[in-house]
Order: sequence, then C-alpha cells, then structure tokens
Amino acid sequence: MSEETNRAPEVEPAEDRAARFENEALAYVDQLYSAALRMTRNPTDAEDLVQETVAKAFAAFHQYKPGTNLKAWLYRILTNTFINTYRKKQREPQQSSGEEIEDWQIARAASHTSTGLRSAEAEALDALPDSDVKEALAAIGEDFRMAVYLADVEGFSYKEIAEIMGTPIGTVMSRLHRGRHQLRELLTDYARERGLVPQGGDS
Amino acid sequence: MNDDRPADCAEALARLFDFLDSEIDEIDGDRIRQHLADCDGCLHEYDIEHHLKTLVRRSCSDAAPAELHVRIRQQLTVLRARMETSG
Repeated sequence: MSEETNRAPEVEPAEDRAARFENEALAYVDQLYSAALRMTRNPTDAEDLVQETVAKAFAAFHQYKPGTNLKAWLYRILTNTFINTYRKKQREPQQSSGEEIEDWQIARAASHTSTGLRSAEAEALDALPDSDVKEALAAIGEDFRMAVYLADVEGFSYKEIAEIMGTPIGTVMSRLHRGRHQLRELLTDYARERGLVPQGGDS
Repeated sequence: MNDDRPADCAEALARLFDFLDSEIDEIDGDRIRQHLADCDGCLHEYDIEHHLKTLVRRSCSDAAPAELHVRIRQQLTVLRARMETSG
C-alpha cells in the first residue's frame, strides 16, 4: 500500500460515483418535489416527475462537474424533463408570450403615484393562509410561476434561473415582474374576500 | 447612473426587484436604500413586495411524501445493480 491510494483517481469508478450520487443528490428530493408540484400542480404527476428526474440525473451524473452547483444542475434536469414530457401531456394553453421588458418598467414607474392602485397592506397579506398563496401561484402562467418559485422559495440568482429555464436574464426579470404583479393582484383579491382589507379601500 | 446621488422614484421603482433580490451592486443598492428612507410611496411598494416574497417562501414549500423517498431509494438500487451487471 503506497500513499498514492489516498489520492483521487483520475477516473472515478462507477460505483463510487453512484454512491456519491446517493449521498449528494438525494438530499434535494424534497426540494425537487416541491418544485415539481408547482410545475405540474398535481401530486401524482409531481412524484412521477421527480422519479424520472432522479433516474435521468443518475444516468448523466458523470457529466456533472464536482464543485459546481449541484442543486441548479438537478433543477435544470427537472425543468427539461417537465417541458419534454409533462407540459405536452397537460396541454396548458400557451401564455401569450408578450414578454417585452419596457411595459412593466413603465407600469411600475407610474405606479405609486397613480390613484387606482389596488394594493392590500403588507400585514393583510401576511394573514393569508398558505393554501391561498399556493392557489394564487398555481393560477398564474407556468413560466411566471416557475420564475417566482425559483427566486423566492429556492433563492436562486437571476443568472441561475436563466440557466435552469434556458432563457436570457432579461426574460427572467420580465417573468418575475409579471409573475409577481399577477400574484399580488390575486392575493389582494383574496385578502379582500377574506375581509382582511376594507372594501373598496385602496390605501 | 453610478453617481452617489440618491435614486429618484422612477429609478427606485424600476430597480425595486433587483434590490429586493440582491441583484444590484453596493453603490446602487445604497442609493436606492437612501431613496426608500426619504420616500413613503416607494417604501410602501418595497414593503409589500418584500412581504410577498417572504409569503411565497413561507407558503409554497412542500416536503416529498415518505413513499417517494422510499421509491427513489429502491429505484437507485435497481439502477446500480443494472450498472454492475452491464459494466
């Protein structure tokens, strides 16, 4: 036995890699499931999607570069698997894609001085039950939903989201703006329906 | 825009999400922070968006069912066995 045996071999034996996959990647199963549930909006499909994702990731694990972002790598596989199999199956009507950046910037720039802004107080939103927030997130367009989910729940950077979704960063920003805008409107409505906001009171 | 004057409303609102998501450099971040300290309208907007972000994080994480964890372990055992016999 020489000291050489302690050094990482040039080519990792397949069984070591498989063990490493189990140790490192399986830690993300809960998070992958949560994201899959947002994508499919259906627990059975979400479970199938995660299983398929794990199988694909296992088969492709030799392509993963150790030390790079494993979580983002897994999310990319999850997203691609969803797009290639489940999206077709679900036949969700396509969002009208108008994702120009300018109009949200203009809308936003005008917003806090304009009178008709529908907006609940922050505290009213905090009082909403989790089920309302899940429902609102499920109600907005798929691309918007995933951008918001990846940024807010998973804490990915815009650059990471761009890589996961396979889009330019500008598109990620546009999706985030539109998604958050729609979410805010829905949640404001829910808060109003629950009597958390005075009727007709827009601040 | 990288001078050290505070941002105005248009800039603060246009970059509110960059600020909220920590996607902004330190100088511009400070300029927006300064503006928010001086402008109730923009601060209100920031406050709501910040609450929404926190709310989504609080409400939209679900743990995988225990059976899924078990099934994935079983699936990997099968895949590893297949790998050993084939290679």
